[in-house]
Amino acid sequence: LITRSRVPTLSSKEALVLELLLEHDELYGLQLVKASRGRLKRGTVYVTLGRMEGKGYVQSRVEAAPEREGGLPRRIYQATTLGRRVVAVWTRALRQLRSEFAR
Amino acid sequence: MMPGTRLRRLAARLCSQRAMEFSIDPVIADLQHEYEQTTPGARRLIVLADGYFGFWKVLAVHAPAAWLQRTLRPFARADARMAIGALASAALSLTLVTVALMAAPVAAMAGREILGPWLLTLLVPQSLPFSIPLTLFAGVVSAISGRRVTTMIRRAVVLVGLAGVLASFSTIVWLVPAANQAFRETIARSTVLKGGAEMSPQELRNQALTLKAQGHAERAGELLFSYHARWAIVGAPLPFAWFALGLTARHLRRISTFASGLAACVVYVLYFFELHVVGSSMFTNEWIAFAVAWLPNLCIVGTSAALLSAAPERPTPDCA
Repeated sequence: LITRSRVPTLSSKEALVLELLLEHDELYGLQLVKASRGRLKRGTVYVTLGRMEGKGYVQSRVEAAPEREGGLPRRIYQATTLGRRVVAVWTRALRQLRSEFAR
Repeated sequence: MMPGTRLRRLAARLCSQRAMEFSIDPVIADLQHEYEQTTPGARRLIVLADGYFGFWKVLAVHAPAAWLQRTLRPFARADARMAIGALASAALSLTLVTVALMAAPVAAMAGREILGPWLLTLLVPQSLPFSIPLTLFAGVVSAISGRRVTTMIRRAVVLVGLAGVLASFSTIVWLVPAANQAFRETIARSTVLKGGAEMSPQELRNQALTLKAQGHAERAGELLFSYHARWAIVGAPLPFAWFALGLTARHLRRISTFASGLAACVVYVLYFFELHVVGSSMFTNEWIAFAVAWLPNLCIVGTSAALLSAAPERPTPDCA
């Protein structure tokens, strides 16, 4: 039996982040906000990314050396294999649901 | 200095290491990057405002969680037996005092057919105003006995005392008058006019002032004292919690501490019972009624302050 807690969950924001990461391969948080065209907000994207990293959907690394003196290195995000699989299943399920309820 | 440096320092004091690494630092790094990429001018101000807004939103998510974790950590480390002991003592004292205060009216009605579970239930609320302070006393003594009285413990005791005041307030203002009236109507099997014990504090005061204006000084004084006594008893949990703190700080034997609390409670109850039944025209002066009603609380607070100031230092380390 598959218990509910073992099924990977994906919120609409998380799905959007994964779709954008699949499209662009690697993105910074701010780039995600800009690429989403207003659907992701600056204040929530980092919290969402932190949560997704905890779930194993994305992985991040810190850029080698910041170009700016005294500045912090930026963190760049990439979808993991699990994230790719989850978003693929999610998209398929959505498509199926839409066609099922369109009748 | 790069923008966000001071904010990062502030966040480091409030958030966990993980939140800093995965949420706060990326926000600030992106803000700094965008700031650098923008030419000085109005656009830069917008970038800064936008970046700062994002920072505060992230901080608002992470800081409360980190604060809660830091606050609860020492309590989580404290042994569970302490909490169970405090709850058990509080429950025991609540039961004992409630039963003791119910004994007299139950004995008076013993043998009557009407005495049943419903009437017994209606007798419970009238005992609560006195059992709540003693319950708090017993709980606080059990919880902090043998510990060094730190500022955090003092704050926790004040909070618990305030929670007791709230419980006492709802009991005295709403529960007791309603239960008393229901009790009388159950006995009389019809609607009856409210007596002093069945009135809400406001009704009691209005009745007292009406009687005073009509020249019934004795009865008016009795009701006015009853009015002020109710508010004093509402406030009693806080002095009793503070008294428990003062006694615990002296590191007496636990039995002596409990005996002192019980004695204080008995004196407290007798004080109000004795003065309550003595109708006195002296209490038509509201200042006198107020002072006499609040005197026991004041005495307890004064004694507690003296106990705390004279408390010996205990070298044993405190987990809090």
